Amino acid sequence: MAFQKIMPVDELWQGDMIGCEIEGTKVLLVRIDETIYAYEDRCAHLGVAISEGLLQDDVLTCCAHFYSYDARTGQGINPRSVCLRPFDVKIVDGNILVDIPPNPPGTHHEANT
Amino acid sequence: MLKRDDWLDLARKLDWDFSYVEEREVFPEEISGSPWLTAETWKDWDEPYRTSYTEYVKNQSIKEASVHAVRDAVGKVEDFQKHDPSWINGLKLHAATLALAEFAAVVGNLRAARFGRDSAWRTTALLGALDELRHAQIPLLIMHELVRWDPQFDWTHKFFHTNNWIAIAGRHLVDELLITSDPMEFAVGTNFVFETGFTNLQFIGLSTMAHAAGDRMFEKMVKSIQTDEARHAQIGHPVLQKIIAHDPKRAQYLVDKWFWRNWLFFAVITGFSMDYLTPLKHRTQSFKEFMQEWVLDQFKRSLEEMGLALPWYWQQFLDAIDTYHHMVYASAYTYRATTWFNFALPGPEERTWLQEKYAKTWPLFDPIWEQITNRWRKSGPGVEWYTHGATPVTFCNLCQLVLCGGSPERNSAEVITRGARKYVFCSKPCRWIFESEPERYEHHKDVVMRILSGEAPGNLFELLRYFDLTPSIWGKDVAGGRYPWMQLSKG
Repeated sequence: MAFQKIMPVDELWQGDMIGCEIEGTKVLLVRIDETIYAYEDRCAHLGVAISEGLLQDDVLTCCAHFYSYDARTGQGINPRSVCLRPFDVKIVDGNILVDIPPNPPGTHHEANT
Repeated sequence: MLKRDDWLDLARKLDWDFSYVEEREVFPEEISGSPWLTAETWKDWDEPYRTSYTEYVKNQSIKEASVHAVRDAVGKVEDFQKHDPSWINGLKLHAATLALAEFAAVVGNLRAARFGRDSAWRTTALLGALDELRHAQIPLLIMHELVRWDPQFDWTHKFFHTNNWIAIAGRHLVDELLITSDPMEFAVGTNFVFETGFTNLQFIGLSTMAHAAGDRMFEKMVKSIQTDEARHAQIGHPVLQKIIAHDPKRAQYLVDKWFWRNWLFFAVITGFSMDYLTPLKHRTQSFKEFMQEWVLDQFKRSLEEMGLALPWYWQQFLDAIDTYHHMVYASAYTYRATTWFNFALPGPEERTWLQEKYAKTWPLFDPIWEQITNRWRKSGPGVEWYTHGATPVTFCNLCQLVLCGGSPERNSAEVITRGARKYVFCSKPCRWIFESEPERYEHHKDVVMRILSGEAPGNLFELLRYFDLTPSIWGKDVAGGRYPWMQLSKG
């Protein structure tokens, strides 16, 4: 699937995150300083939207059970065995574009522990 | 100073070799659980989500402050008075069945905090016990405020101390699951099946409905409780893996037994709320849809990952998702005075919604509600007893709930004879659980047995007193039969 325009860069403030749905896939956008990261908006634990949780410094915390992730990499901090599913991001003409691969939504990414 | 990740593993693993006592004396099989395995076997026990005690105290303190803040803002009587009466009665059902069951879970966790076989397990269980203490206290605190407005909320604390039939069923489950089970059975029945398998239904599904209903206090309460669950629920997985590795038959037995027992509990508590007591406009999904999204897929995947089979009664369970809670609700509505909360009568719009959500089975239930509605029309509002049963009914000798297995056309009750006594069960799985450990269950007296032995009265009105119910408390129709649609249809 090609890159899709999500929203203007200016609408996503530094230190903020937003969840949106693009053709059935829940997308989480996070802005740390000048860099924008995109992940599937599903906690690896039970699929709860990460965008309903907290972003503090560069740590994302799920609101349901406090699973936490590094916002810059999507790698789990607690537990370490999980990760968020990343999407490629680029900025064109002041807009955020995200490449959403055609994988079935709802795929879980919990590593075997 | 060492970083957290550098010292935490060292702090989690604090087991030592015993020199002047035998390991079996420190951890007897009777109280530590079966199969009994050496400490060496448990050494690699691991909980993926790590918490130090300092982090625990800090996080819990923040959570407590947050619950108090919401309570200060929207936890007063007048805030609750704004909600639909049906929703309020769902709250009464939850508050009563939740608070002291959570307190019973303190005991189960504390037993694991002493007799769990690995130090990291014991620490996680200790934090779990503190969690459960909090889960008992939050509903007691929040609902206490409401007792002066509506005395039925008094049952938040009173319920488990009564001989009410639902409390008898609740204690039968909770005593075995939370108070008397050894840490290994507790880990499978409570941590794995109940907390990993089922509580999302409650804490995520129902909190979504609370949000839709504008009940921020209930939403906050269940969400705050849920944030603790994943931490102590993770005890279940590694313990179950050990049982599978050393006694796969027992592992399958424990999963099958506890999935069925927990299912019946959630079908009543959550099924009532989602499909009947939540006002139609606030329902986001049906109980069945929540079950499919939050229980079935994930539970099936967990079992597959661990190499366990689906419970032998899986097809029967799938069929029950379409029928069981509808059977119990219809039965309980017509015996509502035997409970401590009020029941909503599904009107034309609710029944259309239920028909959409349960296309295959609702036609079996709709005539029951048609008949109840017609009786209300005939009696007029306020005449509760015209739509109420008069003789005591029969209960399952395992789950202690009314015999509501199967469908209105074909009840799935089973009868066996053991010694001089006959036992009746609502379903094959209940019978199977009983017959797997008859010595555990055979002496328990269900309501009918109590009546026959003279311990409880046979007359329904006297039985209500035995159930600790008085006219101001016992359950009624939530509107006393005064539904706008009923008046309209009359003309």
